[in-house]
Amino acid sequence: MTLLRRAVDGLSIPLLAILLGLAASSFFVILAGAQPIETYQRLFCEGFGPRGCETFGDLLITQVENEDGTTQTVFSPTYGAGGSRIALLLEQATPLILTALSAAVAFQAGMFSIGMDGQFLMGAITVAFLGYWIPDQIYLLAGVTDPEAAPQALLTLMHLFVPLLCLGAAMLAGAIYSWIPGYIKIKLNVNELISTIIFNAIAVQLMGYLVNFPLRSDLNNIARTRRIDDTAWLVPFNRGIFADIEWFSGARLGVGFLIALAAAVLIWFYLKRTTTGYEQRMTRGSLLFARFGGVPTTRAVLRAMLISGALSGLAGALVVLGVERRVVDGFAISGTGFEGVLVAILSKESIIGILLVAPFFAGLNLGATNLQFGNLPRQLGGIIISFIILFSAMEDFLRLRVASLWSKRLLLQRTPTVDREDGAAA
Amino acid sequence: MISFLDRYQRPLRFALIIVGIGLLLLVLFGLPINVLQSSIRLATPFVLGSLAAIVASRAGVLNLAIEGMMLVGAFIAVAVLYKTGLDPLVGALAATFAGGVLGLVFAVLYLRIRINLIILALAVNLFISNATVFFMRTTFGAFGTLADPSIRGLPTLELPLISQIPFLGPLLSGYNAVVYISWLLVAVIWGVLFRTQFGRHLRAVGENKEAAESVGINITRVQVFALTFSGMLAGLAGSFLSIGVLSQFVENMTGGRGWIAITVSLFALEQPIPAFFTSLFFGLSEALSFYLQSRPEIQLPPDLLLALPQIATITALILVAFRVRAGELLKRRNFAAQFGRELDKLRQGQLAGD
Repeated sequence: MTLLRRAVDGLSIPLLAILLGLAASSFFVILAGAQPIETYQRLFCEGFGPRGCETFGDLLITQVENEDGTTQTVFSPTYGAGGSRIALLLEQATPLILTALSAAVAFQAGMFSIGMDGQFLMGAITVAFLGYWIPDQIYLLAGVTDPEAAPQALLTLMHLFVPLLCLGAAMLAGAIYSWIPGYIKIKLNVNELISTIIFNAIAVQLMGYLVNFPLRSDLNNIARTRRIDDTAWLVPFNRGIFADIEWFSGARLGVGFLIALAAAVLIWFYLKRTTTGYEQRMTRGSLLFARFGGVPTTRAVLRAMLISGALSGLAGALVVLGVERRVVDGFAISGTGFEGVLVAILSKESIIGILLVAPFFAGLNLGATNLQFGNLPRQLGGIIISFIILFSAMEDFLRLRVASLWSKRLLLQRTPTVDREDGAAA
Repeated sequence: MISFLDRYQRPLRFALIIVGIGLLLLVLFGLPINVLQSSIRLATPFVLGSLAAIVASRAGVLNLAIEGMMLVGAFIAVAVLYKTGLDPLVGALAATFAGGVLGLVFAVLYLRIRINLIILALAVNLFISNATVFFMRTTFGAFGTLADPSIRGLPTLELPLISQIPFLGPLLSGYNAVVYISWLLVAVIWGVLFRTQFGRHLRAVGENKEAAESVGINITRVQVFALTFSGMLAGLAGSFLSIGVLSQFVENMTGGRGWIAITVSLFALEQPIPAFFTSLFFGLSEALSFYLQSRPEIQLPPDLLLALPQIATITALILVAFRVRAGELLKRRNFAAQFGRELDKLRQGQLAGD
């Protein structure tokens, strides 16, 4: 019962915020000359629904026409003809989950670090380089001239270890890039918000330089790095083990998603069930109190920043190893890291919340991008998200207002009796 | 390190001044005059933006939405000129007004509805960066860049007497109106903050809210005013970006300048006049990166040059932190020394009394 009440309590404000956010954004839809309800139906269908989704109802249950002409009622999320959109949005939610976890860890140590973008890029570019450099070195050492003709044992071994090495290196790169703002915050009290924003900007320029000059592979119009070696590739499900299940066919969903889920469980365990996690949460609560209580606050904060950076680096690595397989110029403006921050804010840094909100954001962005083929710009998604965040940050205000409305009603009900008593007394 | 600084305070300061003058002379004589001019011009958004940050944080609110307020100013200036075809100065005024409205909304959301300041700022920035592009596409049907021959930029004004001065003339004259207004505003804001009663009230609110309230200052009114004014300054800065340089609006054209402006104000320890000179430095580094890009014989990748202001910013932040930390430590040590002396005196007095 208490669990149910807690669930209702936890969900009511985000749901209210989403509804209010959609309502506020409908103003912009109208300004652009479109029907809000219709637009939202298309937005959600394009983001979350199956093929041929038309109304909100289709999101749950769809009538589909089989090849032999008969109609059939199916449960939409599991219906996968032509590739499910759910798989696509989970593919896009994977880096969001990781960057949101990264933000959550940093926030829960009292660091308002929003450097996820920079760390994400650092992880991505590290892997884009190591993904072909490490296999090259191994082939060189083993004396293999043609990777196609390499012995099967060597290839199997490389399939196992090269991705692991790459992920490790990306996590290290992200962690280092996040440690610097943490260190100058602890030692010199430099505002971590501003320093991480600057670090993000530097990472964007550095990435542009690396992709355009040292790592540029060919004279393609848009600069890009060499494609990573096949042995470093985390093969997505639709090419690998689930190749014959149609549900996966349209998306490059892969091991990365499972890694993200595992990371979520690990982070939950770290924050809620270990001493070190408790120390960093205590540091957030009150730095001085924690210090007087014997918590090594400096170490707790730096540890949190390292973990946070490693998670963001991992996110970047998974995007390159599992989805893109190379870095193209302009990769930097994806803003995945910043979206992760927003996910963490909206879910109030709870792990379950992140697992729910990240796919929601991914679906919203997917829907808004597909909507762009209509007359509405993709930026509608960003507008909706910013309103949702504003309204969910109004939590105290909303609670207070709702509570005061409630108590006013009680007061109105009670007033007649009070009056009568007063009259009787007079 | 601190003791070293303490012992050699005077020679160090002297050396720093000499190095500074040397650098200044090197810059003045080593670079072509148009680079200097463009660096003064490019410093304007930083001047106005850092003034915006100073006004807000002197009133006790960290205004992190300057980026969004600048962007809204930049967009409104171009949009108004495109729709009406009026004088560019009207565009700048409209941008100032729009920034002020956004500042007022920000103040209401923060002070009345009590949204967390940082989350509010992030949401406002996100909203503005999306909404400007949204309207650019839906209302004007433009992709990426909103430009039209009918949008006129701010004209350059030659100051009558000053432009005749032999060497300084070209440096001090030949900019558009917003640049001169920004110079004027530095002086005005310094004067208001440090020489009037209202400025004292504003600073009192920033120093200690409770104390200010206890002597009868209406802190809400002061903070609402500060945020609105801060928004107006940021909007004006944005209008300079869009109609002061190129007379067009580009998606997310502020490009982090709002954040740099906040850093400038931190570096200048929230004082208008040092902020002006710090802004000049940032303008110089931006102008230098453009200048070096235009010189193919100097082989430098443009991406790294564009990172130059950012790297300068982070270095500046670390230096400021050192300065603040050293100041604190010195103060603490001086206090300890004085306290020790007093104690000694007391002890001797007691001994003498015995």
